[in-house]
Amino acid sequence: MMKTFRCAVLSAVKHDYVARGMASHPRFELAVVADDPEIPQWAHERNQQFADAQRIPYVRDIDRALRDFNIDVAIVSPEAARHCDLSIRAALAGKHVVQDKPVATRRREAEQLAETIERTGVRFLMWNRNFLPAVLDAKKHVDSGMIGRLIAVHIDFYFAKDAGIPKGARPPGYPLIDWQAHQIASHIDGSDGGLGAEPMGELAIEGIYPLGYMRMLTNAPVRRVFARSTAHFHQLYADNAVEDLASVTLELDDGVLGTVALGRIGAASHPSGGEMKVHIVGESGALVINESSPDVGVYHRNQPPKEARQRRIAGENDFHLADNFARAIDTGAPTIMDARAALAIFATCEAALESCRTGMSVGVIV
Amino acid sequence: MFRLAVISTQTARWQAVAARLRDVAIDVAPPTDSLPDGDAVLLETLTAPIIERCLHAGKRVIALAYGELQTHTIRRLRDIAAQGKTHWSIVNPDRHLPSRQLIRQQLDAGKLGEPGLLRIHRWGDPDAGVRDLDLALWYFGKQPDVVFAIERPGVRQVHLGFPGGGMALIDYVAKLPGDSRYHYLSLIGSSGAAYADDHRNMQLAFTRDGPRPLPSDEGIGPWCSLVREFVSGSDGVDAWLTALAVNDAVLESLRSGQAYKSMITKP
Repeated sequence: MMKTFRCAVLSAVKHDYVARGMASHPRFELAVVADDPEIPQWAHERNQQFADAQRIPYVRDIDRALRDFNIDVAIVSPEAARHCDLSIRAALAGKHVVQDKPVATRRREAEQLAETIERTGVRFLMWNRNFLPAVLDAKKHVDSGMIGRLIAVHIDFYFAKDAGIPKGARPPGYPLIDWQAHQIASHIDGSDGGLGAEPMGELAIEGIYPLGYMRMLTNAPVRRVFARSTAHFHQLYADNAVEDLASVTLELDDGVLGTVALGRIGAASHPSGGEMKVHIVGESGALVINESSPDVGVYHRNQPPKEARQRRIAGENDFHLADNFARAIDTGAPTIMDARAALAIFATCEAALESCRTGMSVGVIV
Repeated sequence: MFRLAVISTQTARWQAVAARLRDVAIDVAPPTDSLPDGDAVLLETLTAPIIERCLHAGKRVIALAYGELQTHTIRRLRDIAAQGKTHWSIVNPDRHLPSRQLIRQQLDAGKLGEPGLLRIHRWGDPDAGVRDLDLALWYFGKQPDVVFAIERPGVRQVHLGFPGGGMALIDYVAKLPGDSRYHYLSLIGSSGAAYADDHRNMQLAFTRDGPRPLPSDEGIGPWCSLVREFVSGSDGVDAWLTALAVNDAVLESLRSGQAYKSMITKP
């Protein structure tokens, strides 16, 4: 009988899909929700709701929860600015950590996280999408040598979601849109990936996903980037001076090149949640991968406008991530995306944002 | 009746075009040293000596943007045309593809809003570089103010930034197995998006060797479209000269390894 890991959900104020995803695996059991006592009331309420839904206690004391509930694993999904703090505290308490994206809002925090994880010897999993069926297919074909040595990888990663009113639609005299208030209100449809007081653009929030694909497919670190970004769609992003659209050119080790196009492009811009494609070029061939495959088209009378027409199927990303994490705990092997990998992706996003500011190509320093 | 001499080896294509056009008579002939008959001449490649002979003879000339013609040569030929009170133009046939036309129409109708990010994958068509730059300028309606490019053997990537925040990513693969071609274009606008994707437009065949994709082409329409446009009046060579200037910035970025940030000079 394999050991079942007891999990503390260290804040469920942002995405509870990480905790739900882990709980989809039979070896992980949600035991308690915990958070710090001084967080705002709305955050306590959200934690309590999740605890009630899972029929587990909510404890307003993280240290006590980690100590008193026989916890093995911390699942961390608070506001982005608290990610590293909670993950580091859990690691220092000897708990393995699964963390929501983004890894951090500051470089130093991401570095401290990686150092702490390595020093304590616990396992760390940065939540990602690398186990989606199409991505696994891409990896399998690349590893088989079907297209020869990799030369270039191009990834489109567009979320066709809205974020409040369109850019330019704010009536004269109305105040700037408050970032945190908007994120709190967006929780209802899960589009609060940038939850926190500090505004974050799409590159910082979502860059982990395409760059995670890039990293897994190439096994090569990114060395230099050139990037462009803009607030193109949503007044929220324009008011808070962060990007909702970005493009990045990447130079990786081993002569590999790449590009990433990403953004929150508005619900009207795609019938099924957003164009997500992976184009891979090798020395003796190429692959064009639809990241949302396999899917099934579903169309019906009175269909809600925002309901995806092409429904993804056979997605077992959650289970595979949890399984990968369990195996890492069992064997001491690294996870599919450990803290060092997450730091490298953070550094790539940071360099890309610097390139956006300067208009120059920027070296990635890890 | 407008009499158009087409210098081409693609006889069947142009006969098919001729059958679809009113008030235009098309004579197709392979490239020769003799001056073609007709009010105007269409050349399938950018070939300076033939263009020059035709312009000296006072004929209108349209040349499709296949092959290479240097900026200074294009300007010289433009001057010859002006002196002879005739006209010549370079046309990017890709602008006339139904897929590209549809996207341009959606932009013009305001349905896509302001163009934000143009993505082009152009694989197995090594001569398409300037044509795709021209397409980007056509969609954005302005010149880029920053150009970054990088390449490795067999691949090239071009990254354009436009005033106001628009951007374009264009990547080229020189050769695909079996001389296959693949073309993808998406345009993300502020209020909508368009995706012209060979991946979606492939048919599927099952043969002894397993499943095999069958590309769909966009028919004879583009050639009819560009002839109609030429007959009704043409744009000249300025747009192509601008695309060449952007291409010069691409080459400069490849040489220096840095972003090229100067404004592109006007033709």
